[in-house]
Order: sequence, then structure tokens, then C-alpha cells
Amino acid sequence: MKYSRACIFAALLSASAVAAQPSDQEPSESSGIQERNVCEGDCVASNSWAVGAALGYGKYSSPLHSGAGLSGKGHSGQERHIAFLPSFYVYADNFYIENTAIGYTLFEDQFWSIDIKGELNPDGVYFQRNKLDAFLSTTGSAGLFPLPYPDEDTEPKDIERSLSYLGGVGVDYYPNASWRLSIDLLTDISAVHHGQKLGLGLAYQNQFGDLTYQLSTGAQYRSQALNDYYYGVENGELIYRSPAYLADAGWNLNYELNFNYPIYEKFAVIGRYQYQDLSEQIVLSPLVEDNSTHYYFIGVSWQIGGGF
Amino acid sequence: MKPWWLLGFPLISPIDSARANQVALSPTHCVKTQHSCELPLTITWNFDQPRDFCLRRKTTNEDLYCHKQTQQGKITIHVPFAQSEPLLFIDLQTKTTIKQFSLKVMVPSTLRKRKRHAWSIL
Repeated sequence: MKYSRACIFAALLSASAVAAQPSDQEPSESSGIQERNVCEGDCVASNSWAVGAALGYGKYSSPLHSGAGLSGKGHSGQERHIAFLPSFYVYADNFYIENTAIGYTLFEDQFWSIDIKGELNPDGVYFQRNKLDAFLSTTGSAGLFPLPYPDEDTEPKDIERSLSYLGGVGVDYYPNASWRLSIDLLTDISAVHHGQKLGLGLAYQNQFGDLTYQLSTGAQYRSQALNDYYYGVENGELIYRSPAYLADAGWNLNYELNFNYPIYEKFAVIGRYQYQDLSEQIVLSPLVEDNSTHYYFIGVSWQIGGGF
Repeated sequence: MKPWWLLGFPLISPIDSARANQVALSPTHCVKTQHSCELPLTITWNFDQPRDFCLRRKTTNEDLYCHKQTQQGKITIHVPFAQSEPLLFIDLQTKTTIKQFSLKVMVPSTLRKRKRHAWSIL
């Protein structure tokens, strides 16, 4: 199943690339500005910043079991609603912040980029759901966009896992303006689980008129320490005499589609869909019910920014 | 290495502009690569009768070019500009401003690769 999805996605990537080949142009040699600004594709000005927000509708799913083995209720994987997404970035000459990611670019030219980087590990988010929901869904009586609120009694009980932050090295290769191949080697720098993650990625970005779209896929090798911290359980941790589970290292696969269509000055229609196949080592955990996660959001974004 | 001057604003030709406006300056934008950009600045004038005029930096009152008793002509001068500034065409006889131009000096922004970004929950 995993491989059939991968084949479909690879076909989509290839079809997009073939359809858009004429737009992959070499930079003009006649313009001084272009000679200096060799960056092509998804670029941003050095020494610039931007803040923004998107309002719309979306969902993200958690693979965690909603109750079976805990309270006896068997629900499928949970979906959480999203109405609001914040966005923030700062790019200096080498340093950058992109939402929760932070980095320092050691080397960059037209084809290569080598970074020291840090990013939030998303697994911890599944265990922080109520806090995140309260922020992102703007629910409650005073919320702008009241959305269905998850039932409190479906939360896993007494299962606590902390957020963790990973840091390491990332290398990107840009064969042209549209394609990016990437490899990241990250380790836990927050002393939560001391695990590691190796990420491999392939992304394709292009424009169709004003519409910018990106298709990407990737694979993440996650060490035993990382998987076991989030998805392993101790003897009796779930219920009395429940068996322990040791989550070994494994590979997750993910597929993404992003698009952006500017509509008026600083406003744009944005959308994103992400699907993640979880490794068998995670799926077999008694904490986990779904073998995949998905996330989507569509809305209108607004962004302001400038230079410094 | 050649200085990076470019962007031939205004888009209409200097001669046509001079006919309509009596005086014209081209280009009015430059992009600097070092401490300043040195423009080959073309001045074109076409008056109804002979006049004395000067092209002057408004901020320092420095005369960049002067010509006496001329009705029409065209000349290119090389002038360094470190920053954007207004330039004045002054009629030396009446001490009045014939026309004011704004010369824009632009610093090219260096682009860099944007790192992975997406509208997401993280």
C-alpha cells in the first residue's frame, strides 16, 4: 500500500515536471541584478522579515488511540479542527527563523545549501492536543469561528509525552529552480528522548499563471530512542498489568501538496495537504490506532513584512 | 567591473520628453554596487528661446552642469550618487526652478533560498 501511494505520487511529480519544463529558464546574462541574485525558485530577500496569519478551515489527525485499552472505547484516529494559522519568518544574511524552525546557513550557492538547523519534533504535538486546539481553532463562545470541540472523555488517560526540539545539519541540492533534494540529520537537543532523525526529501515547485504549487515527498528514519519515547509503553502504563511495548526504529513516509494564489496585495488563497504513512514500529504501539496521519488546510492568508 | 546603472526611466525617449517638458534627464534610477553609483547622466533641453541654466543638487546646492545662452542641446555627464536625491534645473536669469527631478539610488537586495515553509500547525 505504501509503495503504491509512492508510485502515484512519483507519477504526479513527474507529470508536473514534464508539463512545466518550458518555464525552467536559465538566468539572463544581460542583467546585473540577475547575475548577482543567483537565487532562483523559492527565494526570499536577505535581511527581511514577515508576519502573517491565515483564516480558513482545516483538520489534522492524530494517530493515537482515542480510548481503546484505556477506557474501553474504540474510536478511530481523531481529527482536530483548525481555523487559524500564524506565520512568521526572519532571514538575515545567514541566520533564519521560519515559524518554529531556526537555522544558520553555512554555505549557499545556486545549487547547494548547507545549514545548521533546529526544528520542533511534531510527535509531541499529538500529546498536547487540547492546548493546541484552544489556540488554533479559536473555539469557545468568544471564538470567531466556533468549531466542533473534541470530547474530553476521548483523550488518552495519564499518557504524557513532552515536546522535543531537534537540531543538526541539513543539506539541500537544487538542480534547477523547480527541484530540491534534501537530507537532514537531526538529534534531540532538548534532552527529552536523546533520539535521532534522518530525513530525505524531494520537492518540486512551479507556477501556473499566478498559482504557485509545490509537490513534495520524503522519508524519515527515526531512531529507537525517538520512537520508543513517544510510542513505547511501560508495563502497566495503560491499565493494570498491561504489557510493555518497545517501539523500534523505523521509516515514516510523507507526501505533500501546497499551493498559493495571490488575490489582492497582501492577501492570498493558500492550501496544504499532507499525508504521512507511519512505520510499522509505530503502528504496532498500543497507543496508536491509525497507520497514517493527514493534515489539510485551506484559507485566506495575509502577510506583511519588510527589510531591516 | 562596470557600475550597475540601468533602468532607463522614463520609458519615453529623452528627446520627446524634452520637447514636452523643455528639459529631461535620463536615466533617473541607478543601482549601486559599491559605495556609490556613477551615472552617465544624459541632459536634454529644448527651450523656446536661449536661456542660462544649471543642473543642481538640491540638498547641497552643488552645480553639476551649467550652460549659458543655449536654446537646445544634449550632453552626457558622469556624476556619482551615494543616495537618492532631488536635482533641480535652475534658470540662472530668473533664479527660478524650471523642473525638479528625483534621482533614485537603489540597493539591490540579495536573495537567498527560502527554507522549508508551509501553512501548518508547526
